[in-house]
Amino acid sequence: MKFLRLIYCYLFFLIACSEEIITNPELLFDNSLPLIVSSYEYSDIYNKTYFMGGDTSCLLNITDTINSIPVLAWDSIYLPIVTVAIFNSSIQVSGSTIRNINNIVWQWHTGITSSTYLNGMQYVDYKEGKKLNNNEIDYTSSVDSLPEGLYYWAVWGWSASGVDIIYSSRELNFYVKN
Amino acid sequence: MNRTFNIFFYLFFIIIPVFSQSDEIWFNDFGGDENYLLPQQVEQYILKMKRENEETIVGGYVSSIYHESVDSARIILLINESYVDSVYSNNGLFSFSVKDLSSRIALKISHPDFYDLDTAMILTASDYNILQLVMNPKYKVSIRGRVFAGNIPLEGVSVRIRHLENVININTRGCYYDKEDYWNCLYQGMFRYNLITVNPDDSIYLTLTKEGMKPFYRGMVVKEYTGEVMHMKMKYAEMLPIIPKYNLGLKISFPVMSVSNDWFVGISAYRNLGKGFWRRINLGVEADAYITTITVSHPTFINLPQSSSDSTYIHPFTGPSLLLWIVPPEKRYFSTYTGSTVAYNFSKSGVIFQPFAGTRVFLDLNKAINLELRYTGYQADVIHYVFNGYGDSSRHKEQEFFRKLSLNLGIQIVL
Repeated sequence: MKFLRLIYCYLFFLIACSEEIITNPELLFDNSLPLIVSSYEYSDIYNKTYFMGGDTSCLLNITDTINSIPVLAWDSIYLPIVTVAIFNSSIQVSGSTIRNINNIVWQWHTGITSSTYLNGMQYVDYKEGKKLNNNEIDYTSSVDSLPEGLYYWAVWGWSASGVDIIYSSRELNFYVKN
Repeated sequence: MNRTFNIFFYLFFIIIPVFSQSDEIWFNDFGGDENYLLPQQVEQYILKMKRENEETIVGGYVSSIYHESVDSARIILLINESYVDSVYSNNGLFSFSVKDLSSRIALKISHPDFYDLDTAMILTASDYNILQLVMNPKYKVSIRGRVFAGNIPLEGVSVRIRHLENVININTRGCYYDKEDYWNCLYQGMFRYNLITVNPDDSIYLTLTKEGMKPFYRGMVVKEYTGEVMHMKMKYAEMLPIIPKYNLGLKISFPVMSVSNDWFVGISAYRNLGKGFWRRINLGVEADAYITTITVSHPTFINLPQSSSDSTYIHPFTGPSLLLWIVPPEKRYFSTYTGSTVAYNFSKSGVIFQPFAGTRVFLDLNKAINLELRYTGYQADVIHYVFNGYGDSSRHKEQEFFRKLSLNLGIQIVL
């Protein structure tokens, strides 16, 4: 009886001390915490307003139609290292890393410019980002506007250690109509 | 202070015809209190004896002012100044057979705690007479003390009390099981001695001795003693009574005591090699570990500062160890040593040397604290990261050399 009690205490201690493993399969990186993308609107230089549904559009399986130089935004997370990328095809992730980097058509990170914080959201203008050449960010040339088509995007970030991704959004999409 | 005690001896002279009677039967028949008998109770006994005895007896009951029987009193019967008989009374009662009522009868009563009592009387043919005598007592002082080493009561301390030509040797008490079978340490380290003296100006000298302790001396005049339990603190001797044979140690070091902000914990077991020169050498085993936090840096995105990541590693070692006492180990304070552990490095599968030097201070006879400086140079793997802008960073191990110098605080138990 004493032995059983000892085992019970040991198991209780083990369960109490065990680290909770985060699993969010709906996110781009399923071992990260959710980065919320709320719906927002932005206007182009002609004062035409575009609506981005964010996570809501994703859940309702709606594709928002926007212009070729979109504004991307997400709920502020104040991480020191954050990046957002636009893909011309669905994002493929395995082993906690993105495999189809060659499909990235545009990318921005906190080392390029500082994003704009407004109403609890973090905004990045398309022109602030860079395009990729040979799977590397091309910091020298300016970015071209997006051709018409379906695009996928996501945002993810690291803590100050820069080791593991701790926040990531869902894979979102939009359609560019010129 | 006038310490004159008035002890009254109530002497009841009984002149009654008796055949034979003993004190024990007297008590048993009466069934009274053994410490003190009231005069009415004695009178009842006398009347009982009167019925049973035909001869004339001289009997009495000796008690103190505190209504206690005087034990072990010697009573001597003199008739016409000639010795006739004497008895030792173990309960205060005594009796003599007397035939000549016209003689001059004298009684001498002596007891080491009291002044001698002499009295004389002429007996008549009455049934019985009761006499009351008042006597001056001697001084009786209960000397009590408790011996400590620090705050710990010391049992088995030899206490030598010298008073005039008398020398008394007693020991302080230890713990014991009481009547209810409880472990009782209430009187641990205490001693008591009842001193009887005539002169309150007498001096008494106390000498306390115990192995491993410095002798303790105290002197006083009897009248200065207030009656309280004297608290006497003995100090440890400079040298241990025996050279410790076995030595078990636990060491710890905090980040502030380490050059590289490490935690250190270690255990050790040593055996002393013997006497003479060999007592300076200890052989043993040590097992210890450094708990160290290592920070590695790596670049991330362009224009961002380098990221740094902390990882905690435990680097354990164990192996045989040789210890040389520079200051002999039997010294109580600051016996200093040096040595080296030939340690197996579990982190990198190799053997290294851990030179050390330290000093030891005993807290009591078998517990000590020590301060030790230890150097360890070893190789171990450290995890480094390569930033990945599209996922978790990749990891790889790099072998690095560590130099650890820590000041360790330890506790030792010697056997």
